[in-house]
Amino acid sequence: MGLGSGVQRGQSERGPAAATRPNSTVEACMVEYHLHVDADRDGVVDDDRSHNDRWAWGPGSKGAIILCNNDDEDRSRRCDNEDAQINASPDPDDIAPLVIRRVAGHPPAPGSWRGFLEVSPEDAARVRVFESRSSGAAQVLGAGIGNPAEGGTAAVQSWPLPDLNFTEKELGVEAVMYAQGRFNGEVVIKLRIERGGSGTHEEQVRLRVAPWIAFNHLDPTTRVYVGEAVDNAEFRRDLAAQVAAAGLPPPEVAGPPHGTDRWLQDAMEIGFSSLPRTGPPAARHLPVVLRTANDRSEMGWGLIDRYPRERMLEPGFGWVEAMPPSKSGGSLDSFGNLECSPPFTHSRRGKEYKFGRLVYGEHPGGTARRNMQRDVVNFLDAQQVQEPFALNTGWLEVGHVDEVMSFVPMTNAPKKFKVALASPTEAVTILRRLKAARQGTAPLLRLTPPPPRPDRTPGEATPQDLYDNYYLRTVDDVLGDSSFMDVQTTVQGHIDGVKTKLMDELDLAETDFIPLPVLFMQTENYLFVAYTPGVVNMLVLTKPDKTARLVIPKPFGPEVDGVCQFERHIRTALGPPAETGVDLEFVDDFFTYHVNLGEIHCGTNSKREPPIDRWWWEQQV
Amino acid sequence: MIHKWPEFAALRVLHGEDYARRRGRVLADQTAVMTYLPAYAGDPDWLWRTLAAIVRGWSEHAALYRQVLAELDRVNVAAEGKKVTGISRIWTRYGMRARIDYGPAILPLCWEVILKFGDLWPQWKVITFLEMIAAVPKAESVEPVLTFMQEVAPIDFIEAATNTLRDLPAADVQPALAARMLAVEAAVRARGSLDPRSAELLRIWSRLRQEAADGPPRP
Repeated sequence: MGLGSGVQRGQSERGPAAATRPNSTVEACMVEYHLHVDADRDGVVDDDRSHNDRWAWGPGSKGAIILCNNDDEDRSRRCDNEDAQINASPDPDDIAPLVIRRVAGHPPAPGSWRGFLEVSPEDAARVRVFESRSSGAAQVLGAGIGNPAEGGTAAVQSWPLPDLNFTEKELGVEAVMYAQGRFNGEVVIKLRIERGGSGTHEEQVRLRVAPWIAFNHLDPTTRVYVGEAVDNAEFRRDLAAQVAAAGLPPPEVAGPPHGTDRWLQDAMEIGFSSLPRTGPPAARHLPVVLRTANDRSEMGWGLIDRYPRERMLEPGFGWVEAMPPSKSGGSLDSFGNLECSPPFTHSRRGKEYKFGRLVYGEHPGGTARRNMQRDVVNFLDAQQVQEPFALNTGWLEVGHVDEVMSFVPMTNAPKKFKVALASPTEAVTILRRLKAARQGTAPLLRLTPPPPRPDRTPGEATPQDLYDNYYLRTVDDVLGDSSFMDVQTTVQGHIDGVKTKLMDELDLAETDFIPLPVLFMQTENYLFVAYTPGVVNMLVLTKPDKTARLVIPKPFGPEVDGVCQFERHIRTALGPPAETGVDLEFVDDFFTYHVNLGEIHCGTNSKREPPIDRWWWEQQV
Repeated sequence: MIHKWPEFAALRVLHGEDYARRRGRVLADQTAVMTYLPAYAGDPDWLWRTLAAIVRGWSEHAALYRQVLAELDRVNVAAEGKKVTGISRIWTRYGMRARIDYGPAILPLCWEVILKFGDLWPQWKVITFLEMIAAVPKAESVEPVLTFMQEVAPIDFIEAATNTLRDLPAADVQPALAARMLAVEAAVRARGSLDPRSAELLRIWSRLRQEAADGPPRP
């Protein structure tokens, strides 16, 4: 609706807003001012205004977009949308245009006319409108800074235009938050013209905040992250070799104090947002890291949750939190519990997911602390594009989806990916086959614990102490322990449930899964965790051609003639690299991650390249 | 309540170790426990009822309580921090045990910890008791949790109980929340200024009220 103009001389006014005009007093002049935005999403402000007040999803649809401008172009250690000005170049590129034009040929408005830009009280907290789109431009409308009661500034809901003596005035708009809670991502900005006692005209534009979108394993890897703990130098060296083999730069090492908390996957999920712009398609993207909701230092882990803001926030790399760091969460708020499927079309539901779907674990019947925080789920839901769904991981001690599954790019697969699924059944089948072949004495978990570190804290378990917890060390030991075998049956039942849910939500067939051998054990918490290293808990390094190198925890499965039978099975199950595009290597993470209930995926993270052949606004939600 | 048992009545105001010593003296006088406790247990005032339940809990489950407290004293926090679960493994453990093994018998100890030691003990340990309260959701826990938030917890620790309230029966939580909010708002009005604790309480509680109005999260 809405048309801001002052027309008249008996002419009919264009647009639907004429009905809203309080009166039709004839003016001695004809003057119209209108709002213009990039509603057709080509990076250029449109002449056409017919879609200003509608926002639609899908290819060819219309509706303007603004960016949650949360990178840090001026390296001030805070997001660009936390201050009241447009920051240093290239910050203007992150600012969406909002143009007020006087219709060509119309004279300037009479001096008695006044123009205003306005937003609702709700939207005032969600956007900033700037006086221009240039570096240094000041905010004129929208969100305040800080708490007004403590010296901050209040939000501005109405901005009087200094004058109307322009033919075109370009303003800039940024969002200060993503869709969340009662905010569906749409904001409305109104132009109101008071025609010097001859009535008032209004028109408005509807803009949507570009959603935060998580990367998936089909997106090419560009950077790997790992934490520097006191005991993982060898692991980091091995990881660096694998990363180099994938043609990537050396891993970014999160040093002390951040990296001493080694669980980098759990601290953050990396994604991106996209704004229509002219120029190269890749320039439309802004990578954005979402930090965990957990206040990890207050919960016994360490400071890795501060790494995203203190080290990753920079020009061209944004940062966001779904809620302030909290002490009311738990393990399921770690982002090892948040994965994203590759893109697919759900044939039965007739829906294309251009950016895949988010998958997280839940503990049905568990306490709120044993589930992902409500605000985080709400944030993920509100982005709309990746339609999250939950798997039951409450039976796991850690409770993370990455303990039981990983999406593996596979060039020859119908969907271009398959799901590697932890499988006690597969592990037991291998063991039984060995026993039948009179290999029952074959050793597994054959490792040599490293010497205790001299600087270990009092009461800290030595590697030997930790190794002693894994006391079933031959095929016969495992198969002869009936309660341990019962655990395998129980866990497989849970994983079958996970698989059924994945099949339903991701439209997968039986052949889309690759079961990989993992034995589980029961903990004193009545829950389960990997006994042999969780081989699905892997780092997937994806190359630009969509082939991948998998960095898989070395399983230390049963050995025959010095060959690990789990490794042999995994290589066979994943297929020949020449056909699948999947290469792999096993890396020993036993004493650095596995004994601490995590694996390689938990201890690493990856930045990826957003796709340039699809855009979120073209997806039907 | 007519305070015929001063030893017990003092528990209402004592805190920390002073409280623990007095509770020990109360428990030592089993004749008084038998004589007076039923009256306190039926008192309209929730705090008298709760203190009576705590004393009764110690009378009947002292071994369990001592065992739990001793186990928690032995937790190697640094070692837990190395694990992918962090200290949350302990919360999960005791939440599961409360649900499966301890049942409501553990609640009086939990109430005692959050009301009398909630600002003195390490936060991870206090959260362990909040998690047991959440795992055995009973209406009787509502007022102790709200009081922990309002009167005991340091301001930056108040929100740790948010999820505990989410787990307690909404039909009991919501009226109590509404009443507490009215009281806090009235106090703010009377003072003429919004202090940080009231601001934090009103932020969290109004959020929980809003959630209740919005209905349960999506399945």
